[in-house]
Formats: sequence, structure tokens, C-alpha cells
Amino acid sequence: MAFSTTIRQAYQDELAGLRTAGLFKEERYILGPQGADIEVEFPAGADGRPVINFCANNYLGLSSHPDVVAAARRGLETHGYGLSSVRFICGTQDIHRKLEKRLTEFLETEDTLLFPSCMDANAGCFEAILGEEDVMIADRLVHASIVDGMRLCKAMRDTYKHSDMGHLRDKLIEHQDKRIRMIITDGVFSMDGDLAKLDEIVALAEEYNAMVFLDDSHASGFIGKTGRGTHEHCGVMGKIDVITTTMGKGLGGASGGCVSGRRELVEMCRQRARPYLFSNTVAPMIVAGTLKVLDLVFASTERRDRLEANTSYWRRGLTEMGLDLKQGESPIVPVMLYNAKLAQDMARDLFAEGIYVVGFFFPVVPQGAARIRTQLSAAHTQAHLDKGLAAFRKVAGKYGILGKGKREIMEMYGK
Amino acid sequence: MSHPRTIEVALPDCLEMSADDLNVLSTTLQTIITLMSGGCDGAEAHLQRMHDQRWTVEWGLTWIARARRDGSYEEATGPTKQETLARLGRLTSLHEVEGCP
Repeated sequence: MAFSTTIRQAYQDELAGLRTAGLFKEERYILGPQGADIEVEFPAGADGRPVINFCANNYLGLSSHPDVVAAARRGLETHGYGLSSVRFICGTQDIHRKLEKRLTEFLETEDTLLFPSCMDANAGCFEAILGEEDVMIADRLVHASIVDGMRLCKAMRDTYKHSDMGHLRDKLIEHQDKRIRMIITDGVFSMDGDLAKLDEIVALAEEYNAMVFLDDSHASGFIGKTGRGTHEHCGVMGKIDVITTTMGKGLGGASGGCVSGRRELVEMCRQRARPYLFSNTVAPMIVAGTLKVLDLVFASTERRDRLEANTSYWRRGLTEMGLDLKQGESPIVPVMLYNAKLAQDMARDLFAEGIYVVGFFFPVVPQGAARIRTQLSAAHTQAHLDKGLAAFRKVAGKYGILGKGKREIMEMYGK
Repeated sequence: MSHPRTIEVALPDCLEMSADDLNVLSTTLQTIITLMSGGCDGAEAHLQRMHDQRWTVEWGLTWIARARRDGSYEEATGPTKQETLARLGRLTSLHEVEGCP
């Protein structure tokens, strides 16, 4: 038997090591649809506990919106459950192309190609459009899926220090001998919630003849005046060569992603991106639901405006009570705690208070930069926010960190 | 032949050699042997098979450097030690942190 006792023991030891290091991930069961108010079973087998969700990517609150659910249901009835095929064999329906055109209109690009997820879009796109004579220059804090995509591509890999435009300039100068230089960045960085300096990046790209790749997964639908994304916020719409994004966050939260941008680059992905070529088409139900999401987003900015207001209120509340936040404009609001155990203990106590948040610590974030990442939603009401703030005040007060900065917290709890 | 044949070379006590020096010496000797083999080691057969499958194959002698940290692994090759390590440094810079979903 290949899976021998020795091999089993080796895996068991490795899993035990993850537990010992505090890196073992445990799922928490949500008993019902996603939303601001959810019931969570944790630990497994415990009674469901009603909590307010401050850790979902449900930025626009559309994950369980009745119009989206109804549209998805209609899509299920009119276009079936699945296609049992990849796109280019017999897996493309009218609604797939309709959604691609709608996303192109939304992002103000030239064309769009759907992928099963943005993880897949990022994993497949670089290999499809770049070769060994090219270079990819990525911000050091880009999403893990971009790192994986870059590793699959034969072009030279390089990085610049996070949001350091001087360092990016140096790298662009260093790589002038390459055929294509591609600058790669997230729009909103998921760890700190800060925005890419996209206007400066585009200026450097124009100066040094480079292309720009943007993953706007944590921005599409709500960043920018009409929610088109970071490129709208930074005033560079039409100047980004490749945009990848997800339908699994603000745009409905189900699944699916896309590559959008210059027509030829999208076509190269259609011809060569392996996650597109070798995985199933996006389910019709999700396509139909996402079309409804885009209708809602096109029709009104009311949800992104409410999200913006909620974010401001939340940031102000946490700051005024004396918590140490990462500064930013996005609905990702990290409460800095620096110590991993403190982050875990506070997240546990907040859960007991009916607030669902998650602590992040090394290696997910840098050593000594543990935090609780809170995420706002348009579905949060004033009452949700006030209850959340009251819980943070109580729990942070218990640990004596209100009004304390990095140095003081680290003196109290260590790195 | 089921086992590779090896030779030993005596190094005088007066000769001080670092681990890097020994690595270079060993690799150099192996390179000479490889170049002397004239295809009797089966390398030409591998090459021919790839040519038959329409691969364009280039090969040469190179430096290699590998970096491991927890579950991460990166590998770089290059013409000099300095350039190889610089390449490896660029690759590992993508692993600053695991990052948030």
C-alpha cells in the first residue's frame, strides 16, 4: 500500500506541527445565508451563536440580496445547472458572453474573459501573455494568486518594495533591456486595506514603456465614485492594460473571476490561459446572478455610498476609543495589536460578545504586525456598527490597550 | 553498470579549502568527466528523444542556488554565483509574507 503507516505518520506529524505553531485553520460553520447577521456553529458541534459578521468580503451586501437570488434562480431554470464542458468546446452560453460585455462596460476596458475564479485568472494570465524575454515587476504585497501565476510564467520575476515608487522606478530602469515590462499590483491590498498609487504607477509605466496589471478584487463595485474600482478612484480609467477581478466579493460573493483589458491580451488568455482552457465554465446560475448585481451597481451608487459612510463611521469610532488602526480609505480596517496571542485572544472574546472577526498573524502578516482585520459592508446598519464598537471598547478595555500605541502594546504583550 | 564509479583525490594538509572551494573543485572535476563522456552516459539519447519531439534544447554548465523556508521553495540558475544569488533574491522577495485572502 502506497499510503503506508510511515507515510501516514509523517503527514500526522506535519499537521501536528501546524497546530503547535498556531497555524492550523479551522472552519466555522455558518447556519444560513451570508449577511451582516449570521448564526455560527463554533466549535463544531456547539449550538449556533448569533453574531454580527465583520470579516466577510460582502462589501456591497449583495451576497443574499433577494433580487440577486431571484435572478440566479431564473438563470438556473432557463439555462440549467451546469454545462459539463469547458468554454471552448460546448460550455459558452449567450449569458456568458453577455456578462463579459457587461463587465467590459463596467470596467471600461476593451474585452473581458470569465474564469472560474480570480485565483484562476491570476494563475493563468501571465503565462498566456508574457514570455521568457519579458519581466514582471510586482509589488511585494500582491495577492498569493498573483505569486502563483508569476511562478507559472517563464518571464523574469522581480519585485518592488510595497508602494515604493522610487524603488519601482529603479526596477523599470534596470529592466529596460527586456521586451515587455509589466508592473503588477493589487488595487486594494487585502492585508492593510491600503490603495495602490495607481496614478503614479501609470505615470511611471508611460515614462518607462511598461504595461500595468491590476488585481481589483477588493475594489470592484465600490472603490471610486461610481464603484468601478481603483482605476476610477485614481483617475486612470482606460490606462490599465490588464484588470483581474472577482465576482466572489463585492459583486455578489458567489464565485467566478475575469481578465479584462486590451483586446489582444484578453484574446491571448482565451487561446492560452490554462485555467480557462482546462476547467469548467462558470455555472449559469452565477452568471445570471452577477448580471443582476451589475444592474444594481449600474443603477445606483447608494450601496457603495453607504459602505463608504459605514467605513468612515467605523474608523472614527475605533480611533476615538483609542485603538491603533492602519490608515486607509477602503472598507478593510485592520486593528493593530502586534502580538499574535493578543490578536487571537481578542478575536475569541469578541466572538463571545457576538462580533465575528478574525486575528491575523505571522506568516500571514509580517512578524510583530498581528492584527484583527475588520471588514465593513453596506449591509451593516447603524445598530450593527454601534454594537461592534461597544464590543471592541469592552474587549480592548479588558486587555488595557485603549489609547495605547505600538510601542506600549508591544511592551505589555511582547512582539 | 549498476553503480557510478568514483575516484578519490588526496588533498594536502597544507591546502586550506573552504566548503565553497571544495564544491567548485568537485563540480569542475565532474564537468571534465561529463565532457569526456562523449555520450556514453546516455545523455545523447535523452537529447535525441527531445529533438524527435520537436523540442529545441540548449544546455550548458551553470550555477544553481536554492532557497527553502517552511513550505516555500525557490530555485535560480545563472552564469555566476553573484548573478544566481541575485536572481534567487528576486524570487524570494515575492514571499515576504503569506498574505491575507
